[in-house]
Amino acid sequence: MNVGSRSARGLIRSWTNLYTTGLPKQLQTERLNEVESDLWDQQLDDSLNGLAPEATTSEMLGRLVAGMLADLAWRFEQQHQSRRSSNMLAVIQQNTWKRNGLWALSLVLAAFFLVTGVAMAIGMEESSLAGKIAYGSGVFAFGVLILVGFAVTARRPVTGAVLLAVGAVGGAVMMWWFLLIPPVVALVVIAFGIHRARGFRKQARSDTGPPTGTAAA
Amino acid sequence: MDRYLLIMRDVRRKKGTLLPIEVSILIAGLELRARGSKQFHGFRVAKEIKGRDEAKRLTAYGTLYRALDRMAKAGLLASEWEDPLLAAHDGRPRRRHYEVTAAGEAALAQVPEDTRQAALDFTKGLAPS
Repeated sequence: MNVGSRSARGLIRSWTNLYTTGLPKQLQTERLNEVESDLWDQQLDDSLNGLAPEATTSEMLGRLVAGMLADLAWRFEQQHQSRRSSNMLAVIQQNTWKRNGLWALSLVLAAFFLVTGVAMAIGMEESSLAGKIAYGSGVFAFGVLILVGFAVTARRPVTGAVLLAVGAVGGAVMMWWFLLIPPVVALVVIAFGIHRARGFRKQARSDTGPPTGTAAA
Repeated sequence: MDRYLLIMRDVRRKKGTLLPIEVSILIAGLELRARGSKQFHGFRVAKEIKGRDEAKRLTAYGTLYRALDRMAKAGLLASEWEDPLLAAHDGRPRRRHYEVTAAGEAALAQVPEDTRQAALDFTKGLAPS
């Protein structure tokens, strides 16, 4: 297994972990196991058929990207059915379609940067090796920043919003040549990040503030 | 968003009808059975669909597992996780095995030819020109 293939598998695992976050444990574990088994079988099958590792990597990334919307749709269907949520995602899972839509959009932007970064680094673009690795790593890093921003917003709203904004702006700037889509989406994501951070901050204040006699939300 | 997606799903399909990917999975499952493999797992059916429809790529993870999950819940497929000891013995992750049920066969039998063709076109859309 080469570096590209390992990265692709890692990326697919991360994405699966991400979109199953907050779902009931059993559902999450089952989906992770099923994808893991698929990755293993594909890797074995391709190597038995003498397929180049680059072709396997490319196919895995293609399958990942082509199925992202279906993954998100599945996640929302499960959420709708189970009505369960984790503490970390409590604020964005209040069944308002705007919040869920923005959440999905933000994840898609992060995933786009991650996948594009890896694709560039493993050589889908024609340019110098060092250049494309540096450029791909940069785009990938901004995708990671968005995800980290999401993860820390619940505990540190300001830090989370800043990380999310840096990731969205940085990635959009690096992808400026990709029409105007990343910058526009980035603006929406930043607005959502600020809105979300304010929500968490307000919640933290009400949790730690003196009792006022009013019922908690 | 979840409401929107559910509404879209309901608008898109009439009750009792199958989506192209579901038709492809059922056909592939029955073809595997005819060749002696009563049960199949995700990658196996994706490979079968790719080979049968001459598609360029395997079915996407999200599309495939969302459809398998939906079909299992609808009773078109039966599913079970394999014995963990068997997977450990082979040194690989556990597989989830699926099998086309009588309800799945009956649903496929009612699928008109144009829908079968649509299923073929759906996966063939990924084929090289």
